[in-house]
Amino acid sequence: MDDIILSVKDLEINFNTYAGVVHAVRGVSFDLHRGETLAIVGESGSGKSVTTNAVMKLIPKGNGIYAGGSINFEGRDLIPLSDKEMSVIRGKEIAMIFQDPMTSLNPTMKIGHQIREVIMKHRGLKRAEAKAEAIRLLTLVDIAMPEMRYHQYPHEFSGGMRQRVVIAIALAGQPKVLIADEPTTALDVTIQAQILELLKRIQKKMGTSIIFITHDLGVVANVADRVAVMYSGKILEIGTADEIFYSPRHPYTWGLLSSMPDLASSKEEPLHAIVGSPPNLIDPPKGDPFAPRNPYAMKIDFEQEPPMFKVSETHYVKSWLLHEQAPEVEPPAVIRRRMERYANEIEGKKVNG
Amino acid sequence: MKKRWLSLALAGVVAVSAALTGCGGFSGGDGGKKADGEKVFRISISSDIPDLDPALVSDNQSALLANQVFQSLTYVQKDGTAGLDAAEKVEHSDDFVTWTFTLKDGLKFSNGDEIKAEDYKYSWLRTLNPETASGQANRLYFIKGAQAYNEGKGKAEEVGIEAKDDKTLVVTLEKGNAFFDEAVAYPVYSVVDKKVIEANGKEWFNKPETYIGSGAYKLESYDLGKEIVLKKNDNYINAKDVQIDTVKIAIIEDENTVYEKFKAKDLDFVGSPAHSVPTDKMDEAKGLPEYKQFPNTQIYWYKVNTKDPIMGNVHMRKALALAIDRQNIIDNVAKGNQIPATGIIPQFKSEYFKDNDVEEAKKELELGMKELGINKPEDVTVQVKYNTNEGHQKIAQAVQENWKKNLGINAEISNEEWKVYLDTLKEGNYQIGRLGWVADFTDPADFLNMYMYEDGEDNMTYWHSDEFNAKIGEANKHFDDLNKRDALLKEAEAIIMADMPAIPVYFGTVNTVIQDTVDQLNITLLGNLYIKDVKLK
Amino acid sequence: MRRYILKRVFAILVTIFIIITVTFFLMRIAPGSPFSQEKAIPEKILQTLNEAYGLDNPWYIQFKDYLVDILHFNFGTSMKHRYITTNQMIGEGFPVSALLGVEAILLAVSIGLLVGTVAALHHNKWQDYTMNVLAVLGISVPSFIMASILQYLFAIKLNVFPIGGWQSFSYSLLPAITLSLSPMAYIAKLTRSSMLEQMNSEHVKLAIAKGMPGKRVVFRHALRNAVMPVVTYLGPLTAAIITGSVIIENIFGIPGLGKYFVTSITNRDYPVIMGTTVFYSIILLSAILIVDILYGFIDPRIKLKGGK
Repeated sequence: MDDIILSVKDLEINFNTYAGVVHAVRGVSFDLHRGETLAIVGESGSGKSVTTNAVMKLIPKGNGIYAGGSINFEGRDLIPLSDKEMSVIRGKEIAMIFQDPMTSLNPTMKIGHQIREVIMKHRGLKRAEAKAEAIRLLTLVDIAMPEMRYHQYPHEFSGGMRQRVVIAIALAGQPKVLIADEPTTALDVTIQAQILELLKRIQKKMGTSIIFITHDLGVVANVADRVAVMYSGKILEIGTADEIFYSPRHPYTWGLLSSMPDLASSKEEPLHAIVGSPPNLIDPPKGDPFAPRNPYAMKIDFEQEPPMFKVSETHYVKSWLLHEQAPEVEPPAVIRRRMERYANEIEGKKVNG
Repeated sequence: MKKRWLSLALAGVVAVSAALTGCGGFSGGDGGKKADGEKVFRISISSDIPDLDPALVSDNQSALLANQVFQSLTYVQKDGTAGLDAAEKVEHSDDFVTWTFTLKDGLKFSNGDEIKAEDYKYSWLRTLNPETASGQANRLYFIKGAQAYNEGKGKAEEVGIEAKDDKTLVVTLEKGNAFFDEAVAYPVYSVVDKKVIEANGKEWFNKPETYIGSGAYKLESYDLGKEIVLKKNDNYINAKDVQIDTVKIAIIEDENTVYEKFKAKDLDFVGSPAHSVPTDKMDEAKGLPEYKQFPNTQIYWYKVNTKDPIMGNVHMRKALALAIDRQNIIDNVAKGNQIPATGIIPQFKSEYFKDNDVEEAKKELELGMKELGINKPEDVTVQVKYNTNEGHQKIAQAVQENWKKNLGINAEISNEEWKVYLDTLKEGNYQIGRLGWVADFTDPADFLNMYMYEDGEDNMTYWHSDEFNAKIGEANKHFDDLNKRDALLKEAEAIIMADMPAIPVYFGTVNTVIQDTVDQLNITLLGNLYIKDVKLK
Repeated sequence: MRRYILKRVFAILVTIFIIITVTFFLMRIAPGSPFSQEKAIPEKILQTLNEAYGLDNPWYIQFKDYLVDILHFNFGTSMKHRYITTNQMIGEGFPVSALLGVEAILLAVSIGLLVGTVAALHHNKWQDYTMNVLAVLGISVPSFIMASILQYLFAIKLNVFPIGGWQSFSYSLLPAITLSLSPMAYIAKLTRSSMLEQMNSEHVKLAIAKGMPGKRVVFRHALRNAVMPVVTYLGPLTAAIITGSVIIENIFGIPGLGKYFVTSITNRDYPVIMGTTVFYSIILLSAILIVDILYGFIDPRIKLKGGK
């Protein structure tokens, strides 16, 4: 389908360490459609960053290995490409935004030049024209007095401003895909909102596809069209934002959603935390990786890994609970109440426009 | 903007480097390229000449230069005795008190000015003048009234120098001395040009144009720290016998580098006073056909502080002297074919004891210990000091080992930096201290005179003997019969050796290497090099 | 910037005054006189000499006289070579030492940076291991041993360079190379670790993610930031070159300032000791100042106090 711009199939990434081989990504598959925002959520160590770094071929070469699968961008597998071939894709077709704006920029280079060099390389413009373009981009990301700011250094900007610069750099090559790796985690909440608004605006304007990595479900609710939930190197559930929030089916997703505080919940309700910690990826378990922490686990969850069960055309869940022979399980009360509240909010929004 | 600053800075660095290269003071000299037939003689010294003014010359590098550029009435011959240079005739009264020097005809300075007897008087008085502040003025104290004038107590007119006429100089000494003609060969007695000095004052020696002498060579250029070039002086009285046209003296500190340059044929001669052959290359050097050794009147000895409680005992001193294996030290440490010293006068080479006489040494030690009330040799500890130098250190270690092995006593060796060391010795803060002495004349008494006064500056041992002084006084009555005098001096030597206030180690030699293209090069007995006699094949 | 420089220059002057004072007193306290020799000089003559040089005055008079002279840039006449003025010695010796020093610094910095970068880019491969071994050797082997080995190999055995002396530019090459080795090794190690750090940094990762070509990443994004520690080292480097050159100049027979520096102490040659010490202090302090200013240009994050 022409509509799918990036397609990752059965991707496996291993790391050789002194302690052993770490299986960081164990068979991840997802598609990215043109113009959509796909959010990948999960705890630290779930493999979400490694997956996107792998897409850009930014895995450290010394000990990182592409152990299996394919990464297809516009029909072309990126894994066998050389660095030189990748340098034509990076920045131009697929761009990336990192988490920490304090360290992402070159401290001894004017930010204007850091934008300009992308434009000169990927769009072939000469210096003067590229500079004009860069200033235009600065305006696009809401940086005031762009002509003056062009000549300034990163240390002369605040955290939020720096992240805008990073976004400007990412957009400078006019990429088709933008990978945002926790772009707002290091920023405070008000700035966070601004950045998210900015990204949405840009997407609307330029039609860029965005992969948004986060551990913050609130952010997901704000920006995502579709959501993939990752745990222990695998995607456990994937669906539209509504499906994930309205009718989550995997116990892990339930756990994530219930551990999220929100203003509407009463103060007496204890905060629901998921007991335990993620498994060791050097010696991954053979069954469902979430089983040890899953209050709804069945015997088979420890024995055999569940396949992806289809719930709808867009909604897939990797849980034995969806097997026809599995018992019926109601999600926890907290979840049900939340689902109702969300439903009302969405309705409210639809009504208010 | 910043980029421009940086490129400017870079350009600045490049420009500075280029400028430095331009005036990096390369001494253009190309070691060897000569005009057709020009004879060039190349040697080196280790540092800049300390004193250019001949009236101040005290060290042998300054003397090296002075010997080429300046001239005195006599010069030092190979055997150390005086040869005629500016003087045609040297006569003396029977009592050796009055000396008459007759100058040759046609003596001129390198700038053409004539030289008369007056000029010699002027030059010597200038050396004695307190304002010249010459540290070597005492070399002229033989002359009557000289010391008084120099110390500001007398007048210049009272000094015993008289220019009878243009060609005759008459000198009156304080006491008769048969070796005055040799003393006169020393650079402080050179003649200098009064006109030039009065015109230029204290700076007369600072430019080649005003550095005027009457020696075989004149100063062509002096590149500080790099090279000195001398050119033949056509106004020199014996210029026709001088074959070498140009002398190039390179200033190179490291003696190993100098030795390698000699082997690469970049230098024509290496040897004191023009640098020395490094001790660790001595074995190799001795095997070369270019090697040549010259005898020298110098001694390496350990002075002993006779005021020290232990070293004040004569038996202890003798024990130490007898227990040193000198030949071994010469063969394995000093390596310069030196001569073991069992007396203190190199000219005599008397044997007052046997080298490495361990048996006798032990006997003396017994006697000494008994007198001092010491029971065991292990209880004896002596301190040997020397000035910081690898060679002296090795010898001191060998001596320390000799004493331990042969006598069973302990010796501690320690070193001090040269200037500090001299102070230490002068203040008497030592038991045993290394020193050396190089003679200024062929007079054997030069090695004895320093011991005549207990507090004499060069004595340092605080030893004194009336009998010894009487013997020397008597010897000095026989300047007319040098053989008789020598016999009396030998008796004096016997007296001092019986007390051993100084422990002799060896008599020095001068070890050199000379290219086979060089002929008739000699180092005199007193250590001078006169290039006017050298020939290049 | 101007205010900053003025403040620093003032600080330098104060420092030099302190150096002069301390040196003056150390010199006079040290035992030994400039005029002592193996054959004793008569007391009277010694006295005359001391008078001629003002050494018989009380110390505060001597100090005052000396300060007055310095203000007129008169560093006096050598007491050992009594026809050479200290200014002359410095004037003759300094250009030589400076040329040697500049050559050595250029070699050390250019090759050090290059080798360090190559090692960092081939981390844990043979280039890296080789560089590390050579660097340790370069830093630990004393310069006089290095000098003797190189002189023996290249000048005596292979005859590629002259043995010693200072007759043309080619005479400066082997000594400059020898002098540069230890700093070069140090700079290589410094560059390597700094580059490794940079190559693993977030902003370099972003540069790669932007699709910047390898060379640009290495030079503009990594190396440009990695040179900071090397620039910091330039100050002490100047000091190392100045002092290291004493040994090199000795072995290669180079008529630089180094030997005057050392022999003046052995000779108790007071004017020369003071002159060379003050001179070297000025050089060193200026080098540090220049490095600090340079820093302000290279790293935009640094604002020199009292300036801009």
